[in-house]
Amino acid sequence: MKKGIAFAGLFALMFALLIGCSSNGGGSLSNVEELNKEPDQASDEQIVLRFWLRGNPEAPIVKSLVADMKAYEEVNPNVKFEYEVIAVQDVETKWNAAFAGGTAPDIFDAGIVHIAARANLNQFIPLDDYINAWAEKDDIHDIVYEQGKFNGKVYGLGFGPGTYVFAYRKDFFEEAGLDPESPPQNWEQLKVYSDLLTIREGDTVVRSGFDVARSDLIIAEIFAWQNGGKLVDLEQGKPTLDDPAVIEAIEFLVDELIPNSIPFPSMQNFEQFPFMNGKAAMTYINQDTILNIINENPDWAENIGVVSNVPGKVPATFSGMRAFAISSTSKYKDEAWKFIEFAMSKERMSVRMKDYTVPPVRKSLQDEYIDLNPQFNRAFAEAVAIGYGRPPVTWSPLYTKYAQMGYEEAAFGAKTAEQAMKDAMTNLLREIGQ
Amino acid sequence: MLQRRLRPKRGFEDRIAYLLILPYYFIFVYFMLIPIGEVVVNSFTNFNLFGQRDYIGLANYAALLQDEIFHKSIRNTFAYVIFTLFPSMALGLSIALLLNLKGYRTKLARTAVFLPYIVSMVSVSMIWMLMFDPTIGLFNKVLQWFGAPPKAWLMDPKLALPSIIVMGVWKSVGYSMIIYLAALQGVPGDYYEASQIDGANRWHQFWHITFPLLAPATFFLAVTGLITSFNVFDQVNIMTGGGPVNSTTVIVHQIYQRGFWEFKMGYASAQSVVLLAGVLLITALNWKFGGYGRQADR
Repeated sequence: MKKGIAFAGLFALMFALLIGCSSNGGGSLSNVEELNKEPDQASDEQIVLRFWLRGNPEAPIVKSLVADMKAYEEVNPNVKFEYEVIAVQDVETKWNAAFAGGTAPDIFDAGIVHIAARANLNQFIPLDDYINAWAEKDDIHDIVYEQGKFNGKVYGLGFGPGTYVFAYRKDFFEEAGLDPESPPQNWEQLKVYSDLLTIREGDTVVRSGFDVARSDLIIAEIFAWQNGGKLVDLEQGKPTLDDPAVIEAIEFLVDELIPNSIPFPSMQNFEQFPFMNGKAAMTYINQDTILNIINENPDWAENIGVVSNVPGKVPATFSGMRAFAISSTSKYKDEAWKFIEFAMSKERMSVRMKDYTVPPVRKSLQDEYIDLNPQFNRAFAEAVAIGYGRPPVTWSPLYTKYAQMGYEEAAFGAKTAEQAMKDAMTNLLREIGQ
Repeated sequence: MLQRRLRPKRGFEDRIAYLLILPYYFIFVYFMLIPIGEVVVNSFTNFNLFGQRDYIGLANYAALLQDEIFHKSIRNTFAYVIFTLFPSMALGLSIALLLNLKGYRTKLARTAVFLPYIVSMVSVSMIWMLMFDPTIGLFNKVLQWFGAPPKAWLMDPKLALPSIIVMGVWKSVGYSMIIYLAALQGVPGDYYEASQIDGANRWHQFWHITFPLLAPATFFLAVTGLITSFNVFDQVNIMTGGGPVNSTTVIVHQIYQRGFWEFKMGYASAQSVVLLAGVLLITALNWKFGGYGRQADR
């Protein structure tokens, strides 16, 4: 009897292990009818759409997408959303693991930088057929479609510009004897203002004149573009990290602005961002972050001034674009597009604009957007117009890695700007096989 | 007849024993040996996680020889291992000797020292990252109280790795303490009495009695600590992301970056094989030259 119980327990354990180890490629095991049913035809059945967002859960644009999902569920009771907000630095690895493991969601909140690489791997589907059948397609800016293209097809439909604007503390300007309504107009003035606004205790900077993140490529890209430089030649499909204009821009950052700044790694890490803690007078900052600061510190609103940029040779800033993308592994592609259409509707975009201050990508909403908050929204709208995003190339993760490494080596004084960017270029070319 | 029933056959006992350990070996083979074999195979391919998997011979290993960042990660890993493991063992032993007493105060102290070990490394890393912050961090405030200039800590390429090492020692010293405390209970008191009669002082007692008899515990901590330290990753990924300027990147961090960030799983597999070979070699050396520790246990 005891032996029988022992054998039965042993086989039950082995059987349980075998079942636990088996994989069905994502989604839950169910009965044969469920497995054989065509999902898009089961319109009366409960559909669960999985949606992965990026960034900070408290960011207005993320909250607006959550609101869109809830609104969609109310008018479509057979659809439920499961969403997840992924930290920016974890996006690539989480997506890679999901696609490798067969657990990718239906809809992605993708950046333009992700489109080319993922489309090249057939992980996103082209949206052209859906867009061509969309009645409101002409109200979307052409640049939005262009930014989401790869090999002539649209793989990501932009819905949320992510722009960086120049922000400054008017109260600090007044303390330093500067006109609080007159931010610097060019790089020379930026350097002078930075010197005047920096506070030191001994040799240590305790308040930055101008924030310079030591390990954040965005600040290097902004200054490179403002100096007329290109980090990637999109027409040739080649990196140009050693462009003399790029090197000159980084030299300006390293020699003129970094000595007046408190070291911090990245503008994505809010807790360590000096401007967020009142420890910097000027910075480039994401529009969402500025609005977050004001929401958390309403008394700062009058003290913060915003313009689109402080131009170098040309006006420029960083302007990414959040885009909706549909996974090639999704079983509910049509339903996913219906949600995207809903979220891109004039009504939802207007809600997003008014309640969550997200700049619209519809031509018909531009003037209304600026009128909502002229103090900030004019700067945001102008930033979108002069903004550049990360290069949409299939080797975008390697571009980010080596361009950032080159900037970091220069920023920390490990190499001269010229040597750092030339080495970065050499390493990147070797990696991408060019 | 009754005696035969009470004494089962030896072969039957063996079969039961093998069946009972079969689940463990099933898990060991399915979740450890097979994945390791797959990693070794992938190291000779250009596997990118998404279908591409062509044989490329030793190209990944050849690329490793030229990968300066990987070489830096090896140096950083060795530095982390040496400066985390041995100080935490030495401190753990010192604290164990101090707290090898009875009483509730001693128990409280032991709990306080051991507590960091059981807290999640992710939580600890987040908290220490804020303490190291140049503007609002605790450590710079302490420096300012003493009139010293603040440091950039995790933003200084020269200080970033030592900062992570200090955190690593703080977190692991409790584990060493607990192991040594347990070993100290096994040291017979007669040896100390006899040595006192012979005129031995406390240092003589420690060096000639306590320390040799703790050799098995030291050997155990060295072997397990080496393996654990070589796999350092969480704190590096959270606190510095391998920077600044690759000053804190370690081998596992490079594997993670190459495999999951850059889609180069074949290359990451080659790095993993190098790590595996290194850890096996060091463990083998440990077993060979740490034989005194094992003999003292017999």
